[in-house]
Amino acid sequence: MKIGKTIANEFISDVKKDVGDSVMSDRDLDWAIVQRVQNGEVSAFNQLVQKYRQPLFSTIYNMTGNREDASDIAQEVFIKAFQSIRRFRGQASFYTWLYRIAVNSSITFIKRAKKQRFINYETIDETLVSTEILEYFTAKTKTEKGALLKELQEKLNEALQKLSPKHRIVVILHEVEGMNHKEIADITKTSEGTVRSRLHYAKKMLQAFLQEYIG
Amino acid sequence: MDINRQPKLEDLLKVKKAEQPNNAFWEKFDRELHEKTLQTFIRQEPWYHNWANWFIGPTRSASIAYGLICLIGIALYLNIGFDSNNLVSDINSNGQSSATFKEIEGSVEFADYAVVANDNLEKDYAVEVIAINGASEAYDFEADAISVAIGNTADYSDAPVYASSDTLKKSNPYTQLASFAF
Repeated sequence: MKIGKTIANEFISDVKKDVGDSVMSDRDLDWAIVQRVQNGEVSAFNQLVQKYRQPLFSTIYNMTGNREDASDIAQEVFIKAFQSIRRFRGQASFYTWLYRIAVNSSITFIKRAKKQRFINYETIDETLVSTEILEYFTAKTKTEKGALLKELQEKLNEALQKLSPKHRIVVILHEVEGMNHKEIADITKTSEGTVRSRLHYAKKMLQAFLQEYIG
Repeated sequence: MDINRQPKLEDLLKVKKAEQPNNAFWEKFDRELHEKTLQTFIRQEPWYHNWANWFIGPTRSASIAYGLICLIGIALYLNIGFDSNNLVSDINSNGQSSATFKEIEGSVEFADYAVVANDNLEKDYAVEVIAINGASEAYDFEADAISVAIGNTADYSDAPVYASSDTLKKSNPYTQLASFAF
C-alpha cells in the first residue's frame, strides 16, 4: 500500500539508523518506530502521526461527511493508538491496526449521531482533480469549473452517505484509499469474499444514485 | 481518461481524493492533538480507579494480608467481649449468685475449696462456682473470671457439669472459676 509514502520517506533515514540499512517495507519501518515508542521514546510516535494523519483523516471524513467531526475522531484515534501501543505486538501491520481503530471509531460515531448529522465538506483542491473529468463535464453542462466541482462533490458525498457504514467503508478504502481486498478484509475483520460482495453491492448502489453523471 | 468517453463510477470517486485539507488545518490538527495527548497524561483519575489500582497493583498481597489481619482482630475482639459480658452478667447481676455462695459455704468437699453445682441455674449452661471457704467479704469476679472448657461428651448435653479436684485452679485462692458447658 502506498499510504503517505512521501511523508514516510522523510523518516526512513532516521529509522534505518536503528535497524540497519537493509531494505525495509512500510510494515518494518512502522514496527521499528512502534518499538521505539514502546521503549519510551514517546516523541517517535509523532512520525507515525505525520505519516498517517492524511489518509486516516480522509477515510474518516468520507465516512462521516463532516470535516470537524473527522478531525476530532482522527485525533481520538491517534490518542487511542498511543495509549494502547504497549499492547501492539506487531502481529498485524501498524496501519491495519490504526485503520481498524479508525473504522470502529467512525462507525460508533455514525451510530451515535444517527439523528443529528451535519454536513461540512472539505474544500476541493482543483489541481488534484483529473482534467479529463472536468473537461468532459464542463463541455457537457457548460458550467464553470468551480461550480461543477462543488456540485460533483455534493452529489458524491450524498451518495456515499446513503450507503450503510459497512458498505461505505469498503468503497472508501478500495476506491478512494486504493487498498486491496486483503487489506480491507484485515481491517474490517471479514473475509475477502465478504469484502468483494459488499464492494459490488455498494458500487451498484452508487451507480444508481449517480446515474446522471456516469455512463 | 478519454474526454469523449462518459466517466465511470471509479473516475468520479477519484474526485474524492481531491478533498484535502490545507496546511492551516494540519497545523491546528497537530496543535490540538498535542494538547489532547498532554491532557491524557495529566488527567486525574477518579478515586475508585485509584482504589482499584491499589488493590490490583504490586501491594495487592500486602493489602489482602492486612485486611485479613483486621478481620481476625475484629472477630477476636467481638468474641472475647461477648464471653466476658456473659460471665459478668451471669454472676453479678443474677440474684442466684448470692444463693450459690451460701450453698458453697455449706458444702465443702475439699480442704481448701468448696464446689457446688447449682441445679437452679439454667441447664443450658450449668455454672460451677468455686470459692475459697469463708472468704465471703470481697469477690471481684470480673477481673479473675475465666471460662474453662471441659472436654467430654457430657459438656454438650444439658446436664450440669461437676468439677473435679483436677480441674480446679489452686494457685489463686480468690479465683472464681466458672465453666460454661453448652
